[in-house]
Amino acid sequence: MIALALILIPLLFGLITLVVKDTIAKPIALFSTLASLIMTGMGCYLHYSKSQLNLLDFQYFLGGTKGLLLFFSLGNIGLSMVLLSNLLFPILFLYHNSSAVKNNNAFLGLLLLIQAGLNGLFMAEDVIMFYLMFELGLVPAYLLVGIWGKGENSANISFKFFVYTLFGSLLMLVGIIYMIVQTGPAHATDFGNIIRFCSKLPLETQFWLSGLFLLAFMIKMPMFPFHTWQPGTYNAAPTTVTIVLSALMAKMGVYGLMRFNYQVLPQAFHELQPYLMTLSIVGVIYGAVIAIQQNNLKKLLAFSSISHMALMVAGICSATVIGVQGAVIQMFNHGIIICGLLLMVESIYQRTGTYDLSELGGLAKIAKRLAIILMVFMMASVALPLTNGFVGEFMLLNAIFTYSQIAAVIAGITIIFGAVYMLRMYQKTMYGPLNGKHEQVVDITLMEVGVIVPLLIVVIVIGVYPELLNKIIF
Amino acid sequence: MNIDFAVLLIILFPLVGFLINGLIGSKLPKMMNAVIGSGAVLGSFILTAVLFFTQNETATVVKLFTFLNVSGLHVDMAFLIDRLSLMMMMIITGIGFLIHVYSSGYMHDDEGFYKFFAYLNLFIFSMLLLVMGSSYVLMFFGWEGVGLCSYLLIGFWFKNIDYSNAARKAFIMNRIGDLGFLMGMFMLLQYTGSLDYNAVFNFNLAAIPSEKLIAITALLFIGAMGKSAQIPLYTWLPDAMAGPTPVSALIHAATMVTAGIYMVVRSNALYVLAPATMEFIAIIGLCTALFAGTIALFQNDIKKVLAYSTVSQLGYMFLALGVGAFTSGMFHLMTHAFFKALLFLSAGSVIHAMGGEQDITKMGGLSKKIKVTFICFTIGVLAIAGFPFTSGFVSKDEILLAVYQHNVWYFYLAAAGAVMTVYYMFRVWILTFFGTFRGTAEQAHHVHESPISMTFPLMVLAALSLLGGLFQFPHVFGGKEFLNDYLKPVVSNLTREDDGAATKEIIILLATVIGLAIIWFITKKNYAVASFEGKYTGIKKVLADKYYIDEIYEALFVKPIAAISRFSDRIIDNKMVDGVVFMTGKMVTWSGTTLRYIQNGQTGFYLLIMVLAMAAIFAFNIFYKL
Repeated sequence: MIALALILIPLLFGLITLVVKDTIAKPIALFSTLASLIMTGMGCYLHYSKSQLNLLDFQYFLGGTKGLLLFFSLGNIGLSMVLLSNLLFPILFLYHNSSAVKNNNAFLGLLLLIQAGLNGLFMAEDVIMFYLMFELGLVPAYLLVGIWGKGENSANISFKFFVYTLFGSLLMLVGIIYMIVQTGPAHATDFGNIIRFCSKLPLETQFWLSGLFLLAFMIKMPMFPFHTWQPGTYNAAPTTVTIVLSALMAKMGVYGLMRFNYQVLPQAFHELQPYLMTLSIVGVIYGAVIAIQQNNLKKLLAFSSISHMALMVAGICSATVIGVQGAVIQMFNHGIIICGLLLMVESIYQRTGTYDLSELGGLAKIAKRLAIILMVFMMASVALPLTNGFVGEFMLLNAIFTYSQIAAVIAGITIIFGAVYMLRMYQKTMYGPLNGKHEQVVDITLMEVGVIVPLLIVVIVIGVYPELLNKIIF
Repeated sequence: MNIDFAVLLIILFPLVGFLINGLIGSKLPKMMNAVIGSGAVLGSFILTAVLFFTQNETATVVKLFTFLNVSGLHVDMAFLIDRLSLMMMMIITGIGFLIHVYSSGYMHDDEGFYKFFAYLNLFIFSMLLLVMGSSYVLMFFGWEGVGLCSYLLIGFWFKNIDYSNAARKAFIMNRIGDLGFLMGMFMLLQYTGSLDYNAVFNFNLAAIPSEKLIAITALLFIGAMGKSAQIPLYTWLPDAMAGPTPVSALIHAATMVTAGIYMVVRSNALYVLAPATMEFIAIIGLCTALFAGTIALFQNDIKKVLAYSTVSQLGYMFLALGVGAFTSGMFHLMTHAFFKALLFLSAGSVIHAMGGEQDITKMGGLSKKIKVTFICFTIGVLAIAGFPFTSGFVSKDEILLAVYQHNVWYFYLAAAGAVMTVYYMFRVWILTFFGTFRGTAEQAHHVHESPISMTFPLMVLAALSLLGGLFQFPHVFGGKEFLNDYLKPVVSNLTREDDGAATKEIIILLATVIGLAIIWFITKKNYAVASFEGKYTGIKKVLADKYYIDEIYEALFVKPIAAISRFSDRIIDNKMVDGVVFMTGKMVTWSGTTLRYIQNGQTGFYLLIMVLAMAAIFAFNIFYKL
């Protein structure tokens, strides 16, 4: 039941928000996200206490037993992502400044539709629902970037983003249809049956199926070399949308990789392991190296995300339990951290009107609260122990180490390069002399701090006691 | 009081101090900031002292909760209290407290006063975590935590871009070492199945292939090289002098930089099984001791001399560990913590008196103007120079004797390093306090003794520097080796009983006295002068310019990486990877516009295509059926 509610609440309220007046859009949207958050909290509690787990599932055949299967469950590895998504949306909406956005109702409504898609995707227990939810997120995201994006060529950028990711998801559709055909007359579409029928497919078939899914997911994350849509899109998109893209939608790719490539097509995955590992390690270093000299704050974080996402893939590629668990944990924690970082970047932008590091500097002197909060998220991002960034990275690197020591050493360079680009970013924004144009800049308000505080609490609590997250999501 | 509770309080006091000063410190009077900050550390110190004197030979594990429990990795948030950790805790909280008191005077006019105390308390918390943790993972927590505090405190005066550069450099160079530490942990986990000290050291370590043990210990040592500033990862430490002087004394001399020593001693059960790594450690330590010593010879910044001296002394400690004299290494760690903290704090008092001046070419003749500081600095100089029966004499001799046992050539080199130590310390001492004053008239007018809050810690440390040797006084001079007995349950030294030790001790004693006298006359002649330029040429200039190592690193690593980054962004990413994407898009458009002509609406054309296609399928079938 909770699963159904988590899809219907944002879906219905999203549609309502689309048509209501500008002024009341934010309260409605906020109400919806809070309702989802409460439902998620209940779900997490049930999953944590391992009681009444049946409430987490929803299963219904639309149009008889041969019809469309609607099958969702909150009890699977997607739980961490559902938790993340429902935690972040209320924060985003609280931070959201309605007066600064034209057609605010449409903006918020589309975001709610994305939330419905995300919740659905991470709970989907049958492949058709997985596909539908995958696409449900895409179209609103395209509109949000295209209509509300900044810069003269935001239309071009959003088109590139749309075509690129749509191309990927269509490949996935082909794969899914093929898989359903394999189930024979039963036409079962739930993951259990798909795994039963498809994991025994001949290796050659698994290979090209794997290829289809891999492409789709690698574009979505994105992973080197299919990432070039991302820095431009992250930069052009309104920051709220950038956060949704990087903290949440990017994880759809990693999640898909686990569910399809790792679970449904294990043999092909095993064969592809060394190549995928190599590619993801290259991606880890590639993203980090480029981030070192980036001067645009949002692009810098975009490339850092490329690096972090690739590390998760590398962990999954180790095909160890600790690697997959590490990826699940890191998906959650990276989402929290990148959200915090981008919110702070947006606060800087609202006050100085720039994302350009060469124009920033010295802000710590006049914006102490901002400086402290950015420091915490930066340290989490460089995986400092006792912040939430540490556990996942530690598990992932450990998993990669058990697969290949060389790979771990190379991937481990990210802890050095990560410090290089994040500290450079911090120094260029906060330290040194203040730009004369920014002397009137004011610190973030206590209201804004209040909105961020839940994220800070997560950073510290999960950092000090990660077993709590483990107990909830596993 | 029950021990679990005491241990918990020891680590929580500084954390609470950090939280209070960090969250509401700006609203409290400065007096309160100082009292909370220092009081927290004093509380930890008192409890530590109680444990220190009551702890028997067995170790106590205090478990708080399970930090992480996933497949193949179980980490407890737990503390291991044994004699090794207690000794470190005594040094950290004891010297930490003194430096907190000192800071209340030194930083009094700084607007970031509350912040400074918050950071210092956070540092004490992290450092305690490092030495109290019951597993390598917790050591790593503290390890990274002290790195963060070091970063925050070096860049404390962040408006100066050079200072924040120095802070960044320290963090990043430490991260290079940390990568080694991480990999060492992963490998240890792979072979022993745990990272918990008790589990690891009770594991049948001899069953692990020796080359794996060498790899594990060497990787862990890379971490120590970063944190304890050994070749080639030492260049961050001299730059770290950008931080306020109490920070240099606490973090960059007495405690944090010795974390690498602690790690090796903590893992002595592993290291004794990997002789190749031990030899490597000895060589790195010896090279660092000599290399940094030569650089220190002609530096003109009082803190830079002390910084290179610290690097050099850390080298001696590693040399001791490398030859298997773990207790001697720990002993020197302790005495060095006394006299180097004393030297830094006295230097801070000088800098304070000189209105922020750090250049010794502009000092001179200060002995009469700031007497207490002069006496304390002098005691520090005598201790580090190894004046007979001071703490430095006793601990350095122990190392030299152990080295002599291991390899006589290492001994001669180490002795040569000790001569350099005397030379550069006398040089600084004389240039600062003897001769005539070379500063501005305004500075001459301003010079004054520091307040009691600053001189009191100096006096305590001076007493410790003088008498610290008694903890481990050689038998031949009628002493008793308390430290040896105290640490016996936790370390297993590789050194042998030496029958000729007494003779050697006496020879060293005589050599030291003669050496000190000679160097005193040379340096007095050269540096007790009325005017001193401090400009050097030839080989001295190379030393004064630190062998250009920073410039070499810049050219070898920093610049190329920046260039690769820009190249990857502009050429590989924008032109090549995205170029392919762009071309694909173009091809689709092109094929769309081209294939459009096929769809011309003429039925005849369609039929023709249909027939041709059928023929093709037909042909294809025949071809394959054959």
